[in-house]
Amino acid sequence: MSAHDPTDPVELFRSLAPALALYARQWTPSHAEDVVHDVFVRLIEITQSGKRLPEDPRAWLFRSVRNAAISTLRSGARRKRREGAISDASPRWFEPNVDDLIDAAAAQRAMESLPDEQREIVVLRVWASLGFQEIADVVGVSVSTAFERYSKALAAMKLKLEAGHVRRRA
Amino acid sequence: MHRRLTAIAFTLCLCASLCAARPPADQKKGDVRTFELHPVAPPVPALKYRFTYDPVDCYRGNAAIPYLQAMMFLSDKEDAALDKALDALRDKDEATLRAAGQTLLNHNTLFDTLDLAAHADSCEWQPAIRERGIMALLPHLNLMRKMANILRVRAAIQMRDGQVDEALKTIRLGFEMSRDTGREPVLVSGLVGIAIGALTNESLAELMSRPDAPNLYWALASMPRPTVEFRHSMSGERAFLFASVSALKRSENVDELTAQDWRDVMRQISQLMSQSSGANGGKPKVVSEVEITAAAALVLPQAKKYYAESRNVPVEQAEKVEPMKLAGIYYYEQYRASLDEIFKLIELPYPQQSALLEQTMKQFAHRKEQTPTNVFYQLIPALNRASASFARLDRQLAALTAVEAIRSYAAAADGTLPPKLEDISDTPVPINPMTGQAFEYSVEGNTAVLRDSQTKDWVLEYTIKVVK
Amino acid sequence: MSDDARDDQLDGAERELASALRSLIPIASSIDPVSAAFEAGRRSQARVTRLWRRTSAAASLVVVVMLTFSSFPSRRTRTDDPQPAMRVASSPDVTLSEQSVLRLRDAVLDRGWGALPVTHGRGVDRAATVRGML
Repeated sequence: MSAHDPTDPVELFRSLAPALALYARQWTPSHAEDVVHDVFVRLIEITQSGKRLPEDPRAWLFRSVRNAAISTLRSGARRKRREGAISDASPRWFEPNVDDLIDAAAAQRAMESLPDEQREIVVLRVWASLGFQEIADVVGVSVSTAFERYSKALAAMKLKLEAGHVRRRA
Repeated sequence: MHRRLTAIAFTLCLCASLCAARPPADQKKGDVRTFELHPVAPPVPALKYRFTYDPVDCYRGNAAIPYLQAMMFLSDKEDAALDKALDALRDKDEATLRAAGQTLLNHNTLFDTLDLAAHADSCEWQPAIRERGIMALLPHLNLMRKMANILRVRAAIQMRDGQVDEALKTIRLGFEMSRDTGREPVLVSGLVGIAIGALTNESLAELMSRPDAPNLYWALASMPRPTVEFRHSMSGERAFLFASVSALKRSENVDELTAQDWRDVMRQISQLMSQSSGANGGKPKVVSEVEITAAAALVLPQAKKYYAESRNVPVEQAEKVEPMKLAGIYYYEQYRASLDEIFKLIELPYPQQSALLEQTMKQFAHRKEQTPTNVFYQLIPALNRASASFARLDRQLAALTAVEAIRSYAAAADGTLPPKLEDISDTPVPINPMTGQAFEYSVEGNTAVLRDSQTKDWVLEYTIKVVK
Repeated sequence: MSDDARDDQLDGAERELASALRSLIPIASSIDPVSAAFEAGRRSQARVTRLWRRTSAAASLVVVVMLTFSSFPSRRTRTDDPQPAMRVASSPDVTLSEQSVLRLRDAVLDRGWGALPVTHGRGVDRAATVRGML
C-alpha cells in the first residue's frame, strides 16, 4: 500500500477520524477518541495480517466504532488509554469557525436533544457523507427507515434552532 | 526407565567433558607455529629476492584486465582437484597432493596471464560504487580466492620438487594478488585481499623452514606496509548510502526532502537491508508502509525536540513539520553522527584505535538496540572485527620478518640465538603493529619463542628452533 | 432511489439546515494515526511472541519425551528458525544480487571468505591466438 492509496489505513484515518470521533461521541463523549483509536488499530492489524480489507472500509469503520462505543457505554468500563495521550472529554463537538453558517454550540444542543437513533443518522449523513445504503448497513435498519429518521431529525432540529434564535452569519 | 535416564545423563556428561578438554598446545586459537631454521645470512646482493615487482619491469597497464582474462580459463573442472589438493596439504598426504596438484599445475595459460597481471603498474577494478552503492557487483572476488588457492598448491609442489626460486616467484605473485584485490575502496575487497595475503604467508612460512631456503629478511622488510590499508578499504563505505538511495543522491540538504521522500528513503533502505545476510545478527525484516509509519511514530517526541534544537527554531515550528519528515531527519542525522564517531577512529594507527573502536562499537550497538526502527543503522557493519583482521596480517608479516632477523643473527653468531631482540642490529626486528611495542621474546638453549600475548582474541606464538 | 433523489424529498429549509450543519467542523481528533500504527505493530509482535513461546514450550516437552523414550534423533534433523517478529510482506523494488557489495560484505564478515558465492569462468581450454584464428 502506498501513502497515496485511498484504501491505505493511514489515509482512511486521516480523512475520517473527525467524523468517526463525532459519531463515537454520541454514546461516549469521554472516550470517543479511545474508541476510534482502537478501531483504527484493529484495521491496521487486519492489513498487517495479510487479510483483505473489508469491502467497504468506511462502513466497516463506522459500524465498528458504533459497536465499540455502545459497548463502552453499556459496560461502563473505562477504555484503555491510548499511548502517550490523555483523552479529556471535550464538551464541544465542533470547532468554532468564523465561516460557520450556523452557531456550533446551538447546533450541538439541537443534536443532543434528538433521540439517539435519529442523531446518529444525522452524523453519518452530514459529516461522514455516507450514502443511505451505507447508513442502513452501519445501523442495521432498512434504507427507508434510515431516511425517515434523518428527515425527522432535520425537522426537529429546525424547530429547535428557530426557537433558540440561532444567529446566522451572512 | 531409571537406568536408561542414567545412561543418557552419563553420555551427555562425557560428551560435555570431551568438548571442554583443552586442545593441544599447537592447536591454540591464534597464529601458532614452529620453525626449524637453518641459520643463513641475508643474500648478496641484499635485494636478490623481492616480493614486489621492480617498477622497471612493469608495463603501463591495468592488472584487472588480465586477472579477469585469467578467470575465463577457470571452470568447475578445477574445483574437485583443488579441494583434494588443499585437503591433502592440510593432512600432509603427499601422494594425493601431487596427483591432484599436477592437474592444476598444467594450467600454463592461467599462470602466464597471472604473471602479466602482476607486472601491470596499476590495478583498477572500477566497481560501480558511486553509481550503484551497495548494489554494485564484485563477482571477481571468489575467483581471486580460487586463483590464490591454486597458487598455494603450486608453491607447495614447487617446494617439494626443490624448486625454491620458482616457489618464491609464486609467493611473490600471491602477495601481488593480495595487494591488487584490496585496491578497491570497499571493505569486502580488503577482507578478501588480506585473506589472500594470509594464504600466501602459509606458503612463505613453509618455505622458511626448508634447509635450502634463503634468508628473506630484506625481501620481507621491503614489502609495502600495510599490505592492504584498512582506511582505504573503508573509504567507499561512507558513500554507500548516498549512492544506494536516489532521494539522498538528489539533494545535499536533507531539509529539502519532503515527507514522501523520507518515506521512500526508509522504504528503500529497509528493502535493501532486508536482503542482507544479517551481518549484525537477526533475521532480515521486510517492512510495510504501515511499519514505516510506525517507525516514525516511535521517535516523534525526540524527533521534534531534536529538530527544534538542531535547527534553532521554536518547538511550535517543529510541530508544524510533517511527522515523517521529522522522523526521517532525526534517524538520518543520528546515523551520520554514529558513522562519524566510528569513522574518525579509522584514521588512527591500530594500537591507538583498537580499544577506542571496541568501545565505540559497543556504544553504537547499545544505541541500535534502543532504536531498532532506525533503518539507517543497519548500514554500519561490525568494524572492530574487520579492523583486527587487517592488523593481524601485518602482525604476521612483522613476525615472519622477525624470524628471518633471528635467523640472520644466528648465522652470524655460529648458530646461537640472540638473548634479546634488541641485540639484533644488522637486521632490526620490526615492532608488533597490533600493540605498537616489541614482540615478547624468550630463549632457552637452541629454542626461542616469539610471542604476542597482549592481543587476547588472537595470540601469536612462534617457536623457533635452530638446526645446526 | 438514489441519495440525491431522497434528499429532494426534504423540504428546502431542511436541505438548507443540512448544508449549514455540514459547514461545522467536528473537533479535530487528537489521535495520531502514526501512534495507532505503532501500537498495531506492537500488538502484532506481542501476539506472535506469545504464540512462539507457547509453541516452543510445547515443542520442548515433545523433544524431552522423545529423548527419554526412544533412540537419539538422527543427526540430520532440520531446524527452522522461529517466526520472524514481523511478517508483513512487501515486494522489494530491488533484488540484491548475491555478488553485490552488501551481501558479499556481510557473508565475509560473518563467515570468512569461504562464504563467497561460487562464480565460474568460461573454462576456455586453449588461449585464442591470432594464428589459431587465421
